[in-house]
Formats: sequence, structure tokens, C-alpha cells
Amino acid sequence: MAEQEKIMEQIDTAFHDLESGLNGKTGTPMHAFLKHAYSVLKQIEFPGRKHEDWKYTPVQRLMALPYKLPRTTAQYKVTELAGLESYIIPVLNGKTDVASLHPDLKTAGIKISMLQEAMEDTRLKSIFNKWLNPERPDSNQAFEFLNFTFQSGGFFLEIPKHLILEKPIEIHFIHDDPDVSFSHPLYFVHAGSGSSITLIERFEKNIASTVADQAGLINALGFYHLDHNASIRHIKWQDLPAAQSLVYKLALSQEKDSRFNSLGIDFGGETIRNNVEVELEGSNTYTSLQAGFLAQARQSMDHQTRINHKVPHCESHELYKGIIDGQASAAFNGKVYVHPDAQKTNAYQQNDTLVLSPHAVMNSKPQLEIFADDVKCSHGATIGQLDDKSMFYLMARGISAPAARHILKAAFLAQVLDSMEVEPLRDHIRSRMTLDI
Amino acid sequence: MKPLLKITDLHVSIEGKKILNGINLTINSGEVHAIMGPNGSGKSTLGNVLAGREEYTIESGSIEFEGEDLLSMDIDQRALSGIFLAFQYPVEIPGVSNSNFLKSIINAKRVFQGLPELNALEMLKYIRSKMIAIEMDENLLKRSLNDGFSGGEKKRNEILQMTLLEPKMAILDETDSGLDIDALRIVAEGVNQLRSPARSFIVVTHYQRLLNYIIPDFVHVLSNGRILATGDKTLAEKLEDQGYDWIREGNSVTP
Ligand SMILES: Nc1ncnc2c1ncn2[C@@H]1O[C@H](COP(=O)(O)OP(=O)(O)OP(=O)(O)O)[C@@H](O)[C@H]1O
Ligand SMILES: [Mg+2]
Repeated sequence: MAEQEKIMEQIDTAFHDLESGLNGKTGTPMHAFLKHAYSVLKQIEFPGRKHEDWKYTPVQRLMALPYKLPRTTAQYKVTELAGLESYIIPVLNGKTDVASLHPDLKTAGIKISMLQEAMEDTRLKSIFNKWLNPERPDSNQAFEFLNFTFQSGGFFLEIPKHLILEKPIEIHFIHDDPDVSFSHPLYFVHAGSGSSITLIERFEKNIASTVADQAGLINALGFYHLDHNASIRHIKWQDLPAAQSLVYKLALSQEKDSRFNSLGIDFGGETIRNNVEVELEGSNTYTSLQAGFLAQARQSMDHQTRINHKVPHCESHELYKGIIDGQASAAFNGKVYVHPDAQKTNAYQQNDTLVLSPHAVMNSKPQLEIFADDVKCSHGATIGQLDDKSMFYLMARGISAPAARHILKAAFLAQVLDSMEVEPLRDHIRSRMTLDI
Repeated sequence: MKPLLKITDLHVSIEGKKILNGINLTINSGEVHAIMGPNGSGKSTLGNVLAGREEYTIESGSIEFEGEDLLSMDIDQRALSGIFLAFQYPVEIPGVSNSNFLKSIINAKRVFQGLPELNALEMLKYIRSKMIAIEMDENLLKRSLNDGFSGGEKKRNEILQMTLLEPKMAILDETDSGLDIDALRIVAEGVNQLRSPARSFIVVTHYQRLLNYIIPDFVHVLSNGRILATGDKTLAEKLEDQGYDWIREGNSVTP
């Protein structure tokens, strides 16, 4: 495939740039890892239009850009959220900025290791090795191996057993470069048994940037593991500059009695691809994936989720709500597998979309495969427009048509957004998306 | 004196079906007009057309409001100019908080009138005072707009909006149905307090009982999209006694 070859040529150039920048650090376990990842990447193809799971993400167009490796950004700033006290982990152009980490994190017993160190720590390595070496790599993993190949600053976050952290941890993902470039954040979050944290991922514009907005790709990959009875409240807020794209994957595995509540909001960026993959390894777990998005202009937002119910007595909820306007397109594909042993599974999925323009497109595909008989599973999908009766009611009270549309859009996403417990961030998101009344 | 509202030979259809067949109705400032009539006769249609619902096709006729062509005005402009429809079936809008909604409609009106918006505290005081007057539960402010409200709660919320917006022409579409006896009295008192030489009402109802509280100046009987009879409050009493059968076109009791 000619397109594939062109993509690989550019990647090859970038990889040689990376190697020549290693300056004597060749031959390290890290270098060996990169070389291995690259050799795997060369064997697989980027998914094309015909790939069932990728047909709504314009991968070829996305990868056709001549991405280089970004330079190092010295300074960054994101909107400060009044009233939000948190521990911040900056990830700038794919590199974790360990120097600016909050000392309290250490005091609280939280360990952050750079991937390079973690590579040489046999204890940590045994934890994440399986993630780095999937059994049969295929096109579905192209972006993962792209991430590994250009790995230069990932981190490993360890939450100790029984730690209950009141303040949230925030990861700031910033991509800021004068040239067309890509960056590859990689992070591992290991929540020890009985621990409880709130973790916020913010993909935002560098408001202290000194260069003009430039096309760029963030290819982020986060692995989460919840030990017995651990709990994570996860929030992802994506408000990237209009020229940047995001390929995002959250891979989650949950042990017995653990709880994962995720709330993702997508607003900015150009091409957005979200993959959430959940492996339920222990029974009696709870998983909630909620997402809201607003796709406008020519934005493309593709959501793919896969929940693997492998053991009995687990509960999963998915609620995806999107508004699509202009010439934007979006997709939701929700896979739920209930294995024969996974009796007493509860799995609920709902996808509701408002399509506000005749040129906007939504593709919704629930995909439940159930091989156990004693389960409660349901799914539903609706695609509609703003309700006429509601518009009339609001306007009959003197509210203008544009204001009424605003109110109804906000109301539609409120079901998701209202459940965000971090109020300063919720208010910020509302005002960014002009969803406040 | 110029009438507040003047409807002339109004014909309205929906999806090709004729619903209003030549309505003539003149309402002066300060008057209360009751409209009664069998189910499906077009009472709500008339209210909706006055408020500007776009699903209906105006086949012919005209509506003047304060001398202006009402039919050429947008829904929100009509409301801001003083038309208020209390819905027979208020719409539930989950996700919109009732209090935010009330604030928005009050401020929209104030901006239209060239008044400064009320701040949060003034707003709360204003809304509270009106809620107390109609004995409405303050917890309903925190809920989503009409979402899961009982029938009576919805109707009270309509009356609350009316008292907050102080319209010139209020159309109450079966505001009494679904209300218990106490609520009926309270709502009627709310309406009576608003009665003034500068404000008119159309009260659509099936029950003469409401008209014991809100004494109408005129009672009209609407049937098959036409006003067949017009009288004073005694007409409502007669209808309560004898039903609609005795009224035929031609034996109009128009005074
Ligand atoms: N959207 C619509 N599509 C088709 N027919 C409609 C529509 N809206 C109203 N109608 C019809 O128009 C007629 C008049 O309805 P309307 O609601 O005005 O009656 P009404 O006098 O208010 O009745 P009720 O006393 O039961 O409230 C009815 O036959 C109704 O079915
Ligand atoms: Mg009616």
C-alpha cells in the first residue's frame, strides 16, 4: 500500500533522528526497548478505511503529515482553576517533567518513576511487561507501537496500598512545537489495594506558547491497573487547539472489588480517537464510563470501547452523549463481551446523540456478545435533534432561539457533566463549552 | 378604545386538517374571557397560535396585538411583548434547573424592557416572594424544569412564571385541571391578584367551578373551531347544567 509506505518512510526518518539524539545512551535497556518496538511496528500496518474498528477515523489522512519529533518546551501554562488544589504532573511534548513534581506526592507515599528507571527495576518491570509485549500485534496496536517506538519520557505512577488521597492528581498533557510534530505520552497508573484517588487528565493548549498553532498529533497511552478494592475517579478533559489531533488509549485492568469511574469530555482538537479497553480480572468490580462530546466544524471524534467481562458478578455502565454540528462526524462503537463464566454480570450501555446540522454525521454501533445466561445486559442508542416542544416552551417565555438552543444543548450534556465531582473543573468546562446558562 | 387583542376570521390547519374555522374575538384591556368547549374543539390550538407555535398553518385571518400584526412576530418577541401561555401540558426539560430557567426568563424580560438584570440575591428574593404567594414548595427550584413534577406542581410552576413575568395577555389553558381544591383556590387568587385594567386573561377551562373564583367578563363556547356562543358567567352555569348539546349554530346567545 503506497500510503502505508509513505507513512513508514516518515516514521523511519523520525526514528533515525531519535537514535542519533541518544548520544551514547545506546545499548541501554531503554534503547533496546525502542528498537524492539520499532521492529514490531514495521511488521504491522496502520489501519485503513476497511478496518472494521477504524473506518470512522481518517488514519491515513492523520498519518500523512510529515511529523517530526518535537523540541523541548521550556515553559507552559494552562488555565488555573480557582479553588482546585491538586498535585500536578506535567507531560510536555511527551516528556514527563519530573523536576516540577510536587514534594507532597512523595510525602504521601506516591512513587513516580521515569520509564527509563522503571525498565531497570525488576519489580516494576514485571508489572508492566505484559502491556509492552502484546501476544499478536496487529493493526489495532499500530498507535501503541508508534508510542513505544518514540518513547522518551513516560512515567510509572504507584499509589501505595490503602492510601486515600483527598486532592486530585492532575496530568497536564501539552503539545507545543513550531513544526509539525508528534508526541507520545505513556503512563502507567498502578493503584494499590484499598487505595482511592481522583486522577484528572487535561489535554489543553499551552497558553504560554510563543509559537503559532501548528498541526500536531498527541498519541497518548495510559495503562491503569486497580488492585483489590482500589478506587479511581478518572476525568479526562480534552480542549486541544484546533489543529492538533489526539489518538488516546486507556487500557484498564481491574481486580476484585475495585471501582473505576471515568468521565471524559471532548471539545477541542481536529481528529480525536478514543479507545477505552477494560479487562475485568476479578469479581465484584464496578466500572462506569461516561463521556460527553461536542463536535463542530470539521472535527472528527471516534469513540471505541471494549469491556471484557471475564469473571462473575461485575457491573459496567456506559453512557456516551454527543452533540454533532457543522460538518463534523462522530462514532461510537461499544463492545461488551460477557464470557461463559461471567454469570451475574450487569452491563448497561447507552449512546445518545444530537445531530444539529444536515451535514453532520453520527455512526453508532453497540456490540454486545453474551455467552453467559444469567446476566442483565442492555444497550440503547438514540440519534435525534433538539426537541421542538422544548424549544417552543423556552421561547414562549421570552428566551431567544439561539439562547434556547444553548440551554437545550447544555441540558443534554448535563446528565454527564453534572456528575463531575470536581466543581472548579466542571465550571471551567461549562464555560469553555459555553454550556452555562 | 383600541382593543388589546383582535382576532379576525382566523382559519388554522395542521397537517392539512382544518382546526380553527373562522375565529373572531376581541379582547380589551382588563377583561377576562373564559373559553369552554368540547375536547378537540381547538381551544389549545388557539392558545398555541397566539403564542406562536410554528407547527400550525395560518390559512387566513389576522391577529392584532396592541395594534401590531402578531402573526409576523417571533415566539420570543411575542412573549417579551406581553403574551403569556400557561401550557395545558407544561414541557419537562431534564438537565435545565428550574431556578436557572426562572432567572433567565426574568432577566430576558428585564433586558427587553431596558432594565438592569437582577443579581443573584435580588433574584432569589423576587422569586421567593412570588412562590410564597402561591404556596409553592421551594424545593421545586432545585429540580429540573417540570421534570417529574406532579400535575399540580407543573400547573403551579406555570402560574409562578406568569406572576414573575407580569404579562399583558395571559392565556391559561386548563390550568385548573389536575389541581386539588386548595390549589385551585390558591391559583385563582394568584390570577385575581394580577387582574388589573392593564392586563387581560383568556381562561380555558372545562369546569364552571374555576369561574366561581375567577369571575369572567365573557364566556365563549368553542366548537369545531368556531365560537358558537358568547355570554356572561351565567352561560358557564348553564353549560355545567345542560352540557353542550343545546348549542347549535344559529341559536347564538351572543349578547
Ligand atoms: N400536531 C397535531 N397533529 C394533528 N392533529 C392535531 C395536532 N394538534 C392538534 N391536533 C388536533 O386538533 C384538534 C384540536 O386540538 P386542541 O388541542 O386544540 O383541542 P382542545 O380544544 O384544546 O381539546 P382539549 O379540551 O381536549 O384540551 C384535535 O382534533 C387534535 O387532535
Ligand atoms: Mg386543550
